[in-house]
Amino acid sequence: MALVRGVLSCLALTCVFWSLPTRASTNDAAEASSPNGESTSTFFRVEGKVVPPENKGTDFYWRTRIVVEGGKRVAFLKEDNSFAIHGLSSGSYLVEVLHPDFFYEPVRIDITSKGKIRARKVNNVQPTQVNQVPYPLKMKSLGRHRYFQKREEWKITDMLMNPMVMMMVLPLLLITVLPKMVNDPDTKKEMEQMQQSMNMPNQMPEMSEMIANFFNSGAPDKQKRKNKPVTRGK
Amino acid sequence: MASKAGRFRVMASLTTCAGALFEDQVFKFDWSRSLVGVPLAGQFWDTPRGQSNFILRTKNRVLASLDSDSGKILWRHVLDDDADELLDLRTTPKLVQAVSWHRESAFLTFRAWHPTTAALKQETTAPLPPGTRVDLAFIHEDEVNALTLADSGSVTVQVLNWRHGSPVRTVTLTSGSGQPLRCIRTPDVLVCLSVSSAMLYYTPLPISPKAAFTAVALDKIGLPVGARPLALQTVPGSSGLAQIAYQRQDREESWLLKFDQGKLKGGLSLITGCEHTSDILRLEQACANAECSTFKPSVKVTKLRDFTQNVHEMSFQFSQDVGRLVQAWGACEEDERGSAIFQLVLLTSDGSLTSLTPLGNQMWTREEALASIDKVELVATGLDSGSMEDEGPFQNEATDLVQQFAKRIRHHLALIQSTISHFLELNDWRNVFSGNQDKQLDDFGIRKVILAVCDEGKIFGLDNKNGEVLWNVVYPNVVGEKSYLFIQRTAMHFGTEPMASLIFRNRYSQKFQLLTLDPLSGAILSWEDLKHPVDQAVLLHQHDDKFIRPVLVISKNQVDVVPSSAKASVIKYAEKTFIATKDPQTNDIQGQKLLVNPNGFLVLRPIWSLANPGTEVRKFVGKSTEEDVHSQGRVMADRSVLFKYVNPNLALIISEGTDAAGKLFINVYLVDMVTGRLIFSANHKRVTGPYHVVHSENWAVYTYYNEKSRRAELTSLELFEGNEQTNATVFSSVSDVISPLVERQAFILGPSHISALRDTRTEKGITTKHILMATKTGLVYDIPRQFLDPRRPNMNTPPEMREPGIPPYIPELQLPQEMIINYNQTVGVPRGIITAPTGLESTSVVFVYGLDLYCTRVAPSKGFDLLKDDFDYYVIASVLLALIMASFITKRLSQRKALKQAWK
Repeated sequence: MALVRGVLSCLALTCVFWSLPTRASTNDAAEASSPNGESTSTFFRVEGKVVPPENKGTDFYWRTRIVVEGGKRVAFLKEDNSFAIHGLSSGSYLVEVLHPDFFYEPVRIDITSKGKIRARKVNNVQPTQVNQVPYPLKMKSLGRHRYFQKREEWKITDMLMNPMVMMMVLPLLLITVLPKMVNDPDTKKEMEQMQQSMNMPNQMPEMSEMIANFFNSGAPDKQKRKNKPVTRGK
Repeated sequence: MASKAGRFRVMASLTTCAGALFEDQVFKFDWSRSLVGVPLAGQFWDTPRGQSNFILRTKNRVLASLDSDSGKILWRHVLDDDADELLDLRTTPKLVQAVSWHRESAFLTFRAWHPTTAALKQETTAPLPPGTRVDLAFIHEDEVNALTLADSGSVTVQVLNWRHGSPVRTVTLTSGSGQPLRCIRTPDVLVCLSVSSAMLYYTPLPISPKAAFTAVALDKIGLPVGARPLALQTVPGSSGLAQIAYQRQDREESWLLKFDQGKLKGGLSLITGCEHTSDILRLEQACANAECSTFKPSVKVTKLRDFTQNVHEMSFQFSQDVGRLVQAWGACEEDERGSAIFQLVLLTSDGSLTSLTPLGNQMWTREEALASIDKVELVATGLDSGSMEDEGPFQNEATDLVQQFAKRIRHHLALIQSTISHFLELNDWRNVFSGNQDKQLDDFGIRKVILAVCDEGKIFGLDNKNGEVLWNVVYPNVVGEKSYLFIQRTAMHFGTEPMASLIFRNRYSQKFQLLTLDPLSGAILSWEDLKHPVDQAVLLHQHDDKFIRPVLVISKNQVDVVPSSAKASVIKYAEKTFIATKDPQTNDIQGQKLLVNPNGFLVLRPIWSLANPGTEVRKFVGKSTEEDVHSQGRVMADRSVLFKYVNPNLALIISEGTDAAGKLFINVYLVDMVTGRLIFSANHKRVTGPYHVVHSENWAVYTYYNEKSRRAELTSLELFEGNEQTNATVFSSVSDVISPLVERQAFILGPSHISALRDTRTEKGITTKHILMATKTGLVYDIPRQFLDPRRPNMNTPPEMREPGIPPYIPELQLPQEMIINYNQTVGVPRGIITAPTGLESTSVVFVYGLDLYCTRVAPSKGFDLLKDDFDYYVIASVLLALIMASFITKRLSQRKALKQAWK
């Protein structure tokens, strides 16, 4: 009977069982006894399935490792992504599905001496707390491992939202754009007049002149001397 | 609510402090090398597309498939830890079948995989009665034969069904020789050899219930007179062949046995065969000289048809030391003209695999000895300009002042010369740009030589930049257990070559030997026998006038100095030399003082002893002698200083025992090794190993597995003197009366199985320390020390009472995935981590070894002395250029304008 169950759970019927969380997990086929008929230490089998991620790649079958207690016992993936851990005696085991790129949550498996198997979430802080998960195991990836930090990217918005830039840009906008937005001809005229009165020669210092003064401030005499012979020549 | 907020803060600070990688840094500073281990057996398997793969099982319990054209790993399965090595491997056109034996639980596992995808096809377990021993197992047709070889010369064969694992029959074969047998199987014969009586026994397969051995004396089948049989070996790729290795007049030869239809037919000396064409490849190895001391055998391959007809001949000379040819596998194929083409894979005794074409050209090599590194050290190359070490107080003070000055001048001249020659060599300017960064990094002393001593007796020098093998030395089967590796002189001393010494027990002579070599070039400086068996070897921290740090070799009460020329300096410091030893019988730890007896010999005198009744010392970890402690104390929140208790003689001891209930417990001690003063002790109940310890500065961290809660835990200890410092300049254990404050906290680790623990090391100890932790699953975490600070305050501590930089205490250590420094380059079965400082204070070199190798650099306080590696040279340069241009242009413009204005 147990054997039939074991076979059943290997088949597609398993998904029906998985969807019933209350189902009491039963022992799978305990392995054969010795030829003399005396019972040897019984071993149990833990079964499960790994839900592969999309575009898993051809190396998924060997890159994925299923390890019990950090590698004391290992299991290998079958082509239908199921696995079975053989030769476990009763006890509690940590089952991990490891893949370099995808992350799977570890599960703790408890096997009673009669071979009843239950699976629960790993809780290192409160190890006695039982938070049962369906058995046979269904290991689903929680996503890709995030090993890397994101580099800060240069974004135009970052620069524009900088307060210094805002302080400079806003007044500039006010000066250049606002006058052009005024449509009323009267005010336009008024403003033109104002601008004309403002636009006296040499009232606005020129940029180039400023820099020239700045660079030549060390040698003002030279320039004077240079200018002199020219005027005399005239 | 409060806890949530706390957790958030921890996470936030973690992400800022952890030295996480950026994705574009992959393979920039790091490299990894995947290995499979030294092969025990292999088979060629032809893919449907006509390529051929080499499928092998190895000593490291690995089953793997290599691309026979390139030697690259196509897939690799690491098998169960609790299994013995894989017992048998068979490839069929559709399956790779393997048998493994679990000794503890007494069952056999039969597994079958798909040869290309490596997906499991079948797995069966076959329990045997408890207490059964299985020495050999092999697959024959649909049955597995498990053999138990009794010392009386009988062989018990249990025949099991491959599909169900159920027992079919048990047959006992008796040889009647009364001597232990060694057995192998050829495809259809089981052959056993009795070495002492020089008899051969065989029986055809499958083993029927009425099977019996046929016995034949070795001299009857043509083995030369006077030959001493050594071993029985299979002939890979052949049907019905086996060979006997024998020794005659100090030479090892082998004799081929041919079985036809289960009957012994004849003999011939050779190694490998071609199954497809029934041809035989005969390999004869010859050494360059009579003593075979160069380990560069030349191999002559002759292809024979029907044993006699010589079809093809080829010879190959190994270009480097490989030891002796051990095994060869041939893949043969018939071409149109009927002459078979073949590929050879040769295994040599140094653990390397070499693949040859029929013309004797080398296709690829794999250094599989690196999968079993025993001892490893990182040696600075001393190529950087700032590497001249401060000679320190151990230099002969006043006498050599002029000499020292002259030496320094010579050193700088040599540096100038090398710089000039370097620039002269750079004819190609493209090299300067492409290799720019590497050269720059060399200047910072990041380049190291990884000196690795492997189990196969091969010593490697690897480049830590890319894993390239710089040199290797072969002492096959010589380097045995109980070895010590010391760097006695670094490359930092100008005018002297660096020196590493290896003390080991010779596997053949059982004598202890000393091998001294130059770790940078691999040149052997000396190889000598030690006078006495070695109990313990200790590297002293002061050096003699030739900058050699002497090694004390302790055997019983005898102390020898290596090299003997350094004895004077040892005697000089004998007063101050204390050594702690472990008594192998009583398991006590003894503190001993070095004394010079009236005859001028060095002896040890016990001063104190620490008895560990009922427990066994598992770990004994002192502090590194090369470590600098930069800061003497820590500034507290109230601006007072808490001074560190920095005792360089402190050691942490973990001893394991069993309590009344049969559960394991450990005792942890902190002991001053000079006076034997017990500074701290703790006890952990119901814990098991493996234990890992990091002991540094004024703190220690150790991990263990908590059986009761089924999780790995980490305990952190930190020692402080208090608010006042007794002596700021020098610490003396003898006058030490401080009872330090011991802060301690324990944490729960996320990963349950830890396989290595190490701290990062930097040159001056200014950079904060990180702990590197390798899990058994192959991940290497980089954990900031501050998260293991035993002074993490309680969650409910008000913020103003908390010290800045120390997160509040949470039992579980949150290890985010960004902390994994080896990202998806998982290290197969890691066994150890080693770190070394570089010339850059911020950077530490990390080397992780196990089945795979992984090497990288970490910067625990981020690269504060380096430009960021995404530093935009082009933007900075172009902005600078543009500014200069603009200033010139505007100058010109302004001049013009000034001129115009002057005209007005």
